[in-house]
Amino acid sequence: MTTETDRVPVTVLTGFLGSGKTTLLNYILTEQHGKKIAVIENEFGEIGIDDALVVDAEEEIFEMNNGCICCTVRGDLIRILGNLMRRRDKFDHILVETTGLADPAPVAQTFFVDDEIRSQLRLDAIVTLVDAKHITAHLDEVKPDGVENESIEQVAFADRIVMNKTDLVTDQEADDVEQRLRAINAMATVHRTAYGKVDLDAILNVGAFDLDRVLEMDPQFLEESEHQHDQSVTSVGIEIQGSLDGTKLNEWLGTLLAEQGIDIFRMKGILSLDGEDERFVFQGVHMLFDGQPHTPWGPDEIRTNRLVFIGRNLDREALTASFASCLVN
Amino acid sequence: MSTTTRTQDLLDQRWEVTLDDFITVTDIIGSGDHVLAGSLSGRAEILDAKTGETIAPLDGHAMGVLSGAWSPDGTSVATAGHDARLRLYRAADLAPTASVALDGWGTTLAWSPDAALVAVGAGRTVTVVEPDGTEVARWSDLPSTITAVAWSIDGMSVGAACYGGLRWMRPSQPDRPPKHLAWKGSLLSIDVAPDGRWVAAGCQDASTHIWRLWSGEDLQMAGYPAKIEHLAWDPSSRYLAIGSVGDVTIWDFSGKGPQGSTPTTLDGHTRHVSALAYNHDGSRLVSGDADGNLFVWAPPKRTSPTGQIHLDSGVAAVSWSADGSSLIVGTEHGSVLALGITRT
Repeated sequence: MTTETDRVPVTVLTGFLGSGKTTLLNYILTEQHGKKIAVIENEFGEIGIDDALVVDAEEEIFEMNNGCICCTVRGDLIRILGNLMRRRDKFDHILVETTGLADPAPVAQTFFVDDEIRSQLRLDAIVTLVDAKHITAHLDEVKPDGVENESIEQVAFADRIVMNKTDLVTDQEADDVEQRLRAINAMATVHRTAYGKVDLDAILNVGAFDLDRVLEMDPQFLEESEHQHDQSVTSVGIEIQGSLDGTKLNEWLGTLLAEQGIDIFRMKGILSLDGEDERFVFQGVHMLFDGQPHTPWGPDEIRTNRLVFIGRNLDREALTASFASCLVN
Repeated sequence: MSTTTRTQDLLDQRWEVTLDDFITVTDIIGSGDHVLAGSLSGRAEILDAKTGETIAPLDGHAMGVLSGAWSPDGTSVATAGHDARLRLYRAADLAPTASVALDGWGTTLAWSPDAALVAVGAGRTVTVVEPDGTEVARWSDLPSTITAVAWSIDGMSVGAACYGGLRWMRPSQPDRPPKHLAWKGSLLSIDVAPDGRWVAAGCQDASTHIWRLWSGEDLQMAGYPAKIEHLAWDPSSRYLAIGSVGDVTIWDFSGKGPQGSTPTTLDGHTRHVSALAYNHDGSRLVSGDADGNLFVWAPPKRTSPTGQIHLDSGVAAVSWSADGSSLIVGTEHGSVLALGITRT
């Protein structure tokens, strides 16, 4: 078995053209002395650092025939990452830069679907760079029917949002942008920066996809940011005490993902299952998820189920009511 | 009551050398005296099959050798790699004959059965050249990066595995659009049955897809635990071996074919099968896994191995000598070793 420490962390860096990805990449590569980093880039930037291997990749999106209708993966990443991991000289960290127009879902799903990748690499975090001055215009851009607004998706998928170029806006404007970002994605932390100089501990080795980290989430903080904007992509937090009927829960989740899996970008949860001593933790991307029993509940602990969804057209009340119906009476 | 003594294969290691990193290529020349070996260190060498001594270091490929093979007639050798180059050598004196620029990593290459042409897949391009490097055809902008190439047995067509199915192209008619054997999914490996009737492709979505050439009739073996990267037809074209996680399955294509039948399962591997090859007469199959287990089988009748050995590193590549008396094995840690096989 490989342990978390054996698996090489992979940071996915997304953001629109002009948000400063290349500057941030160069900053990471020059700051991280002593670490062997590989960069897989989809946009020809101007990266050239002696110790880093830079691989140019062409985005290849493959649909998977695994019965999951929205399951797409990045074929180029499977191939390149598989090849990198065969080398004797292992890398300490891998950075994947996506194009400004990329959908983050196939990138994330690649780490769930391919066993070879999964056994050797762990998706550490999705870091989205936004340009403080222009992101609002990108988020507001109305796309034709059926065309995704990639900037909204990139914000929605993020574990960490780096708000760059804050030197170009006033503090009030930056606050407004941050509020807007948090309305879409209340789970991500926002880091303000100028010239891409962000504290690297905030974006590298974050462990955002580790099930351990799910325990740290607090859906209550979501409420403050909800309903501030009338927009289709939002975060919904649910917190309910009690224990769940496993069969009902399975049916609920199965139906939910079948009906709304395409619209649910990210989800995390800590669940109390009836008859089980341990809390069950899970996290997922669209229809794919990882889950396992975790630490036991305390003897006198109030068992509270906590769930967070980030997605499109989420009906908070309907979600809460249908989830509550899985509780044992 | 009678007892039968069943043949066992005794495997003994004859030599071991290192090429520093994950071995990507081991190929024995037909006459059995020379071995081509290459690794991700970038080194490619011709070794003496009896001693393992280096006969000639080849130029290799910066950042790693990814593919390589002797021509079927033994007169040429080809290697390709990360440096986006195909290198060709004359076997007689191992003098370089050509270095051809490719459109990406030289991931896969295959010689035509008559040794007149070599096809290499690099990025989304398939390039076909003569042994002296003369370019015969180049097909760019195929639907995805090419994962494997193979020739039809008449040497008229080269097939490329990629996303969405196989694409078959004729070097004699480079302007003709590729023939598409469609399958929704990403194909990772390709093997043409020696009799030319079938072509099998391993898929990312844990299945194997098989087409009858050239009717387009196809069938699917699904339900494997992981993606299929290694498959092999036996020399009679009756059996198809498929390597998965933990086991190898053998499908029988005689009579009505494998549809509705149950395959023979060869159990014993502890991780994913990373190398698979039949010997010259089909009496033995070798399979290796990422844990370093190497098994020799006599399928389909016997489902327990006739021989086995455990290496201290994962098996990365394996090939049989022409007479089936030895194996050349490459490991993840960069060893190339020769195993003699004695039937007892």
